[in-house]
Amino acid sequence: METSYSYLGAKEMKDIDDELMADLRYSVYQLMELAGLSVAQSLYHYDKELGGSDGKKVLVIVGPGNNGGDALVAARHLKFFGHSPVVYRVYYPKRPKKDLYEELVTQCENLEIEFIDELPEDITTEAYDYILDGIFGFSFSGSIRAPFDDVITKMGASDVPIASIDVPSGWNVDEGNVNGTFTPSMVISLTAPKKCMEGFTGAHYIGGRFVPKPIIDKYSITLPEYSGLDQFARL
Amino acid sequence: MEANFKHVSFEEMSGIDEDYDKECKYQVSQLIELEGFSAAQALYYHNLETNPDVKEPKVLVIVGPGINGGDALVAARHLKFFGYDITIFYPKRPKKEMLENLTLQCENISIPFIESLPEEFGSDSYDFILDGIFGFTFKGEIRSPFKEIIDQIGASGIKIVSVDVPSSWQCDEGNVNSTYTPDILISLTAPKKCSEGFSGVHYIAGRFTPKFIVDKYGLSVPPYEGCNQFGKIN
Repeated sequence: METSYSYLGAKEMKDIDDELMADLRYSVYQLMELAGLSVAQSLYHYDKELGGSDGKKVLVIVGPGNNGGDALVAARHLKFFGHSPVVYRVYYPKRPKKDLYEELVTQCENLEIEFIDELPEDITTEAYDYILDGIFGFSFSGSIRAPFDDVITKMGASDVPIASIDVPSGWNVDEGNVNGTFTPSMVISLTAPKKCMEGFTGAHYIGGRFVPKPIIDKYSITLPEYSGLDQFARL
Repeated sequence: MEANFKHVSFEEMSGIDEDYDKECKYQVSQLIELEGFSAAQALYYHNLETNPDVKEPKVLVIVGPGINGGDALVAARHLKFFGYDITIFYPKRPKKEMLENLTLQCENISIPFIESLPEEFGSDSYDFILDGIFGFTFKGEIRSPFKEIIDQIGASGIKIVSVDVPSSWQCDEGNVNSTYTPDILISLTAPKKCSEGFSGVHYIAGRFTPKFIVDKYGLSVPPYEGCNQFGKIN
C-alpha cells in the first residue's frame, strides 16, 4: 500500500512559519537549530546507509537567507558528528548584516571549520564527498541572478552528490525545476515536502519533528513516522 | 570513567557560560534548546536501555523559576515528541518572555500543567521525575514552595532525573541541604564538582561545546555515539 504524503505550496509554508513564530512564539534560533540538526542527522544517516565512515568532506554552500542559516547550523553539527564541512558563502554584492547569520558563522569558526572564498572551477569528487546545498529555500521565485547563477551551474556540472536543504536551489517551490538547474541526489524537506518534490526519485528525507501536532492537523499534513530519537524520517 | 573526568567549579562553569555568550555568540534560546533536547535524548536512551517494555513512560517534569526550568520545559516538549506521557508542574513562573514562550509551546502540544503535587504519589504514578528546579547557580536556603516540593519528591520513591545539578545542591559544596540524590544525572557541558563521587547513572549533554572551551578549561570529552547529543560516563 502506497502512502500518499502531503506536498505543500509556498503559501502554506509561509503560513506555517508565521504560525510557529507569531502565534507559538518559537524563536528563529530554536527553529533554525532544530532544522539544521535535522539536516545534519539526515546526511549523516544517508552516508552511513551507504556504508560511510566518519570524516566525509562536505562542501556547504551557504546562501544569504534562512536556507543559508540552516546550512550553517548543519555544518556545525556535522563537524561535531565527526565529518569535515567546508563552507562557501554566496551572497548579493551588498551583504546584509544579519546578527543571526554572523553568530552562526562565529559558531562554525569556533570549531575551526574552514571557510573558502572561492569555489574551484571544478568541484571534484577527489575534493568533496557531498555538496550541502543551502542557497535558496522555499521562498525563492523567478530567475537566478548573479552571483548565484555561476555557483548553481558549477554545482550542476559537478559529479559530487548534492544534498539540498528543503528545496533544490533555483527550483520554484510549486512548479519545480523551471530554471533547468541540477536535480540533487538527496533532499531534506523541512516540515513537509513541497509541491515541487512530487515525483522526486532521489533520497528524500523529512526534517521537522519539532512541528507541533495542532499545525500538522490544521494543514492536514501526512508524514512518515519519526522513530526513536531521530529528528528525520525517510520517505 | 567518571573518576578521571574533569568536574568543573562554579567559577569555571560561570566562565564557560560567559564564553558561550561572548566568544561563541550562542543565544540563550539556542543553547537552552540544545541543552533541553540533549537531556530529553539522554532520558529516552536511558529508558530504552533499562525499561524497554515501557513504550510511553510517564514523566512528571518539575520546572523551577530560572534557566534550569527553561531546560526542563524544552526537554518536556521533546520528550512529548518522542512519544512520552508528560505532565508539568510549574509553581513559580517569572515574567520572562523566553520562559513564557517555552511554556506556550508545551501547552500547545497538550502537555497538562498541574496546579499542585498530589498528596501522595509513588512509582505507580510516574516512571520518572525530571528535576528542573534549580541549576548550578543555586545558593543558600531552599525557600517555599520548593523546600516542600523537594522533600516530597525525595520521599516519593520515583526515579529522579536531575538536569545539571540535583536541585538545591550547591555547585561546589554538594548536598549541603541534605536533600535527595537523584538516580540519574544529566550534566550540561561538564559535570560539576558536587557530582564527584556520584554513583548513579551519569550522562553529559554537551555536544555543543567547542574545542577551544574544552582546552581552556581542561574539560573531558564524553564518548558521543553517532548523532547523539549526550554521552554516558557512568
